[in-house]
Amino acid sequence: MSGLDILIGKSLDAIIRENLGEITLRRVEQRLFERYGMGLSKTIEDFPKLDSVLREFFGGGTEGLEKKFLDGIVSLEHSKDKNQEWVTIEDPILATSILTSLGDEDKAKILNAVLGESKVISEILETCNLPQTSGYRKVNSLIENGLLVNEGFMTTRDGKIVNKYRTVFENIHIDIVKNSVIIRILVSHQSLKNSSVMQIVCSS
Amino acid sequence: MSLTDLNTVRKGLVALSVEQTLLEIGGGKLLNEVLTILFEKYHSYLPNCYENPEYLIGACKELGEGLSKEIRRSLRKRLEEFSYQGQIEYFLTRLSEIEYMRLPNPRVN
Repeated sequence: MSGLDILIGKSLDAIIRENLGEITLRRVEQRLFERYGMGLSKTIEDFPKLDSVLREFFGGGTEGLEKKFLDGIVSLEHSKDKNQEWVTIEDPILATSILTSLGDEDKAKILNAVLGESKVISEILETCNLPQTSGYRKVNSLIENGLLVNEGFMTTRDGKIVNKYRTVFENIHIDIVKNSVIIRILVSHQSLKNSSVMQIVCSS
Repeated sequence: MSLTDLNTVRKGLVALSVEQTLLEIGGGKLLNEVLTILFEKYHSYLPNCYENPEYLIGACKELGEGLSKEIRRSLRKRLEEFSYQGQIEYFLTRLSEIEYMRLPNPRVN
């Protein structure tokens, strides 16, 4: 599952539940269990499975429905740079979650340490001068929220393979205009390509 | 390379927290009422309440004495994990202080 999918996942889950209505949601969840033995939240992590069940219910209208769900979460801004795109976060809950991470001084240090280059966790904690226990907890929280993604690995002297991590975005802009807080993240084409959810946004 | 200015992050975080608190307490209607008072009486927008918490309390008090108390409590809960940061704690403390003080006259630009 790609970092962008994790980042968007919770918001998508909430928006689908809000929009489908109680009866349809129950039927969709029932079908997901029958076909894949998973609930809605789990299949969002494996979006093609959810897509295939939604197609059983909504047929040709599925794409439009999925786009409607995603319009409330993110929008894509086509940039001049062919390797990167700006993604605007439309969902206030997701925006708050990103700001909550950036507002935590230790998490902000961690994100800064792996912006543009992947590192193993011990290296990140050393760069940021963070204690092991709380440092690991904060790194794990950033991974769980999709802000840090696995990119490559290294082999230690004793032969152990350790994952390397970096930020899901290449850059981030926060603009405060009148009553709005606008968060835009710069993501690589590769990240967009790896995200099954973002592929729906890209296809519009 | 640095991600973003921490003050903008805090201001954005406070603005979104206030917005969500208002939506939770009174839905879109309450949010719009507060935004209108902020603009008409204080010539301000929601994010300006970070530097000027008195505007938020003033707007809420106009809509009901109990409302400002409820919003202050809810905001403290939401922002508690950041209260170790001076500016956020200052914002929360100012909210409490202002609630019990006579409000200043609206700023005229």
